[in-house]
Amino acid sequence: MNAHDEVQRTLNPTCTGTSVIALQYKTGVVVLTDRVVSYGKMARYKNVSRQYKVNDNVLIAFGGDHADFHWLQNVIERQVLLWKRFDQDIGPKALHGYLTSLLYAKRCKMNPVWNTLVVAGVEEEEKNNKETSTPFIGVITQKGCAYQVKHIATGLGAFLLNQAVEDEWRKKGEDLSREEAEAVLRKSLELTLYHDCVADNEFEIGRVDATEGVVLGKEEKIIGDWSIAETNCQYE
Amino acid sequence: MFLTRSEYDRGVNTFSPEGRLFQVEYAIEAVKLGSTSIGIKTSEGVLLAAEKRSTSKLMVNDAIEKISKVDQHIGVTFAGLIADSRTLVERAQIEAQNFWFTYNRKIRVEDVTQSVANLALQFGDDDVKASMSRPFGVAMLFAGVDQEGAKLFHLDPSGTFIDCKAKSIGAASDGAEQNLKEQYHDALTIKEGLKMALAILKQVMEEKLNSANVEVVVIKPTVDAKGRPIGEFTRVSNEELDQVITSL
Amino acid sequence: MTSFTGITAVANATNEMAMFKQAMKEVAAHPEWMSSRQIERQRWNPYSMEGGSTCAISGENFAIVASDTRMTQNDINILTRDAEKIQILNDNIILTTSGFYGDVLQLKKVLQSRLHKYRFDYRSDMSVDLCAELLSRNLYYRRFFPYYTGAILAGIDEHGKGAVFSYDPIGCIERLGYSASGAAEPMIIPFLDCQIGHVTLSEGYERPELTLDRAISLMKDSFRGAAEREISTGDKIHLVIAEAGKPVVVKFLPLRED
Repeated sequence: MNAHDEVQRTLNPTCTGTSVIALQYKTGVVVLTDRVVSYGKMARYKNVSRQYKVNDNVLIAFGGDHADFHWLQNVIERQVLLWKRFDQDIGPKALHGYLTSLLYAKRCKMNPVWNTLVVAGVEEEEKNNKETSTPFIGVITQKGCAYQVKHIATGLGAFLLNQAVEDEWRKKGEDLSREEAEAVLRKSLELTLYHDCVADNEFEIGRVDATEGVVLGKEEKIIGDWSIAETNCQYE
Repeated sequence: MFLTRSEYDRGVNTFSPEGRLFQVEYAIEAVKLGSTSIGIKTSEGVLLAAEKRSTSKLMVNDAIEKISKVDQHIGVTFAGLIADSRTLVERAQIEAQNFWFTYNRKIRVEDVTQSVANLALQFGDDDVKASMSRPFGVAMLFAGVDQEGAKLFHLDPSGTFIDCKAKSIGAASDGAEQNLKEQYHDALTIKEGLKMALAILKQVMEEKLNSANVEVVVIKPTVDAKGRPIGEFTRVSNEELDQVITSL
Repeated sequence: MTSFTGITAVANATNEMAMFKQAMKEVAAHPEWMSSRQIERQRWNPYSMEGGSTCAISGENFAIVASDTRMTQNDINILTRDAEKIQILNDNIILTTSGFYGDVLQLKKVLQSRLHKYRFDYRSDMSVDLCAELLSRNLYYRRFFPYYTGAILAGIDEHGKGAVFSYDPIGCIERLGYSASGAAEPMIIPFLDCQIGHVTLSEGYERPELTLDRAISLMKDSFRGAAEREISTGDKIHLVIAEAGKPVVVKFLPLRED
């Protein structure tokens, strides 16, 4: 490997996003990301969305290198246009499969796409029949390790939140309503906010619903409960 | 453009109004210019016998190879344009080795024939990717013993291949095949088969039959190191041939 | 004398030039700003380990394959509780793989497409004997950038007998009566050595016959034992049973979730 190759390959991420949290509900999927892009531990860019609407059925959220995701958006858009040429809309399952192959191929060239991707969407089992559509969440790591889940938290959230989200999911399972699912996500964000130093309190909740399609979230904010700070003796 | 009847044999992949591909049919005719070969499947294995036509006294007869070894258990004989057959035999050899390399198992006779048949049709007058500009002018007899037993396949220039009990190709194939039909039965032994093949060749060949102008290969069933059925390719020596020929 | 000093001056200048070139080369190869720590960090590791265990047992006319369904990150964090580590390639061939999950997925895809093509080329389903050799070749093909996987191929062979083939990451192949791979391999193998291999049993003692029922219950015990003591194994047993002349049966059995 050439001495200057590190500038041509993402062997270390530069500007990064942190956790992505996603959860299935009865007729769709909700996805939460915060709106900050960090340079190391500095909150470098604020008001940046980490969710990308692919088409009416698919939404992609990412953690990891922001520049790599920009490159990925371009690749995905080409793929979507390719399907459009045959009058098809790419579904979440197909896109998940495509991105798995892509990320695995890039890792094999030792030039990884430094992202953890969450492909959220509704899979149309029958064409133009919303009744039979099923929610889908697929995860892909930068090394091409891919799996399907009902609920997920990536990044530092994987350590902090997976169990919390899973417990909520198990209470109701497939019957979870959208409002309940969103409440779980908000609560989860609060938890990361307390523990993840690069998580932000400004966030958005996007969703993919069988009937409504992709609805990108609006910017929201939580403050959280910082009363405990008063009892911390190092806090001035 | 107006095409007269005879112009349909210009392009190798142009059908005539009657639905014929003249170049392929001519290639089948080319086979009939070649020296005669016979294949016989017996109850004890399968054998191939081929006439080696010497056009001159000055030619070294031993240098002609009319039966090639594809693998330990498969042999092939051919009639027609011998130079064309080299390409096809090489494909067969490569395919057999490739199968063995990938699966650690000897390839079936049918599969090796199939792969050569695929190559036989890859011709065309466009210079894009076709490997040949005309059909191959050879017919082939693939003989071998695989896990399914003794097998004999006939392949012609059109890429058609047929599973046979006995078959003849080349100049005297019609006469030879008539004889085969009359004499063939399922309980044939290798010895009887060898005698039958040489007797027929003796009858149809223009030259006098001797051990120098005939080539015979026998593939007998055996088992490999793991106890699986397979064949063993052996050329019949001149002494053995002489013995049979004198007894005719 | 003057001409002599002239030559020395030229020689010095050339020498200096050569030294300067050498210094430039060195600094380009190891720039000052690249500390040893950064050089270490740029060596990105293309592998990760997702843990979990797999196991296969063959009998006279059956083969059973099992794996857990847990996928972990850094051995301590559960990514998902229902990952697929067993692939039923056809009625007679079952592949189970542990190790780096990206390679597991790739290996599965490669074999599936090879089996598909085999059907077209040779007009029959591949047998487990052939698939075993094929897998070995495929693994060795990546000798210098290996699939980081412990693969086990099981199924019913051409003679209707149960078969288990075990591999190392670079394609060393061995046909065995039973095998295990993955995180709990060091726990399952000795257990099966004792129960099926009877390697610790003195002569003269009864050796129970390996029936399908016994194999299944040994398999359950193996995984329950492993889940007790190995953190990346757990959640569910994915059990696949292949019996000669019968369709493949798939079962999921509960396992510890902690």
